[in-house]
Amino acid sequence: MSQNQNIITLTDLYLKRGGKPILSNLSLTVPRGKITAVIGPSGVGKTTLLELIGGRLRPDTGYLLVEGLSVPDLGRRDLFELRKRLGMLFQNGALLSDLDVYENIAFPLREHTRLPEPVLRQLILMKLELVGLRGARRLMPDELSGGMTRRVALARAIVMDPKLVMYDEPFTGLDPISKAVIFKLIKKLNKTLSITSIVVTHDVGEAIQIADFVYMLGEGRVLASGTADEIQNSARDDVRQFLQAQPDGPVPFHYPATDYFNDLFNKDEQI
Amino acid sequence: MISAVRSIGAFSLAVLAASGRACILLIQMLGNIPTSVRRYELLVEQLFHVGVLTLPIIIVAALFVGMVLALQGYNTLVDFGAESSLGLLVALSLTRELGPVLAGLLFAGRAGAALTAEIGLMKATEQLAGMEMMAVDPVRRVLLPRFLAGVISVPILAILFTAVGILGGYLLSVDVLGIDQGVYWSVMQEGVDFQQDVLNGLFKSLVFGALISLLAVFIGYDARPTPAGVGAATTLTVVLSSLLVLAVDFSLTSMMF
Amino acid sequence: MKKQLIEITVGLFVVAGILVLLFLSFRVSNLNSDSVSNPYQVKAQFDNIGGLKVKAPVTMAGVRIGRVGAISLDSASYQAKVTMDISGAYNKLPVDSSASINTQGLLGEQFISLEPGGDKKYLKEGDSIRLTQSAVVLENLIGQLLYKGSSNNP
Repeated sequence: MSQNQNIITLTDLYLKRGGKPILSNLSLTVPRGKITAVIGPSGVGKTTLLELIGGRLRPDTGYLLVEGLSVPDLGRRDLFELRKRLGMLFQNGALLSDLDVYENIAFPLREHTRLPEPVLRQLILMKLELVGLRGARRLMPDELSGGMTRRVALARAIVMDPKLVMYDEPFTGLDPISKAVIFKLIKKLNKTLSITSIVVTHDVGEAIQIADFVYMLGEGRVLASGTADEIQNSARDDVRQFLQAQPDGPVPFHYPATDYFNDLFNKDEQI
Repeated sequence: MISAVRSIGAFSLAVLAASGRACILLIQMLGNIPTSVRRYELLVEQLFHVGVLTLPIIIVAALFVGMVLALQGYNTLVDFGAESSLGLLVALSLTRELGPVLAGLLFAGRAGAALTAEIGLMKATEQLAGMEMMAVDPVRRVLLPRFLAGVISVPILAILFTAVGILGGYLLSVDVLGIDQGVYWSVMQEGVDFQQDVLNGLFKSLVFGALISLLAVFIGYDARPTPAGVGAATTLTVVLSSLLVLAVDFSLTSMMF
Repeated sequence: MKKQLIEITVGLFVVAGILVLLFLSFRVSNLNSDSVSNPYQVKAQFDNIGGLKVKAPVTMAGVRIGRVGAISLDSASYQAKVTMDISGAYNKLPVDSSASINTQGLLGEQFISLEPGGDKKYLKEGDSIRLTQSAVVLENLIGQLLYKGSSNNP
């Protein structure tokens, strides 16, 4: 049963925004209980992919199944029911700035359940212990460092015990220690709670180390896919350019422009 | 020439589209009222931020407005030997016009701007998107309590403005200008009609409250999620809601009186 | 703790709003004097009521005892039919009392003034006052004055 193995199945997804295709004929699957990394340069629609999975955007054409449900066809109520089973870690954490750490983690529970306060407290403290911030529960979001913010956001993302957690650039902008902490946490959550994880990132090193399976996106579709080893040994130029961090190659250094010489010495041109 | 016409057209279309989105938001919010009754504590919290915190400037402004009305009114009325009607002049101006309108304008500047900035910032920092991904509807959780708090607060603020203004006028008329205090109140009672003046003023302030609150939450929610976008949205809320309060006041007045 | 404080101040805010609305209703506007307690209706016909309006006061010896309830035209006599609501507290008005329409000050509102008669029987619900005096229309008065003045002079 492919549906049981794959928590997410995308088939021929196509999305255009502002006349520019963001995704074209994107197909990929996310196996249950594994860590799947989606890598690729900035601006190829990695975050868009997460918004599609979460139902915040609708594709123009194509099929998008999450847990066997076609997300674009879900009504508002069903979509919200599905989202209760998904966790998402935003790049900046997206913590509610007027609530402290404890209340931020309590937020989904208070909205969706009517648990008595002592049970709520135990649940929250367990999640906080998991991310190592039990002592920081009364801090406000603006008192947290970038790494701590992301850990709090992670605790909040898993407080409803989701089946799937989506990480949007979890390693970006962190110091090496925080990076290692997040890395360890993703791994741990996947192992101990068997949470399926999608990690969207352009940090190739971390992605390849953490993931069971890697998709590389480019120009709105999958350029290469496979296990970490397969990707690393890919023969494709564009994949190699990205993995080895070469400034120029199939992905050009220059944004498309007219001829340089003409542009410089053409006095009629306004700008 | 063509481009000027074209930009007028584009502007009109944009305004029309925004009004449509605002209407949809209003319907969404109204539809969510029944399910949000059980979360009354959210409303209470917003009543504090939107209503109670606006109270100080309302009281100070009303005191001054009442005193100025008494002073100016006295100088005019004394020429006709009608200075005993001063209480009536102060009370009528405040109940009919100045109470609702000035409370509305002050509310727009103090609370409306804050609401827009808060919601715009929540959008810019992905807090609203985060909420949506946690299966929480930001319209119900964030916008609706703020909107309702505004709708409830403005009439209360307008009533308080009117009363404090009348007291301010009383202080000046009786203590400074030497009007008899009994006369100050009795001409008022004789001339101010409950339905015509007090209730109509209250109705006006209710309309202003709904208008300003809708604009404030909508513009914040619709803002471009950038620092400049939030800044522009805040300005737009103050300018637009002030102008609309005055325009709507005119049309309501011409219908009522 | 902070939550309690918020709830208390919001409560005070709302209560203050309601109290001040009551202040505006009873102290500033005329809501309290609007209602006449258990009134009985008395009718009167006038040739001309001038600018008399519904809700105008009805007084006796300068004391307000009721309000004008309704004004209509009697299509048989072409007179104005005025219905007055008189407070139940003043239920001993002689039946031969007379009603006149007066003006407060020179340009003020018009009101009905009742003059008591000497009869031992009292007005009750539905009775009519027969002796009435119409409103003094200021323009007519001035007109008469001018006419008199011009006819005396030559």
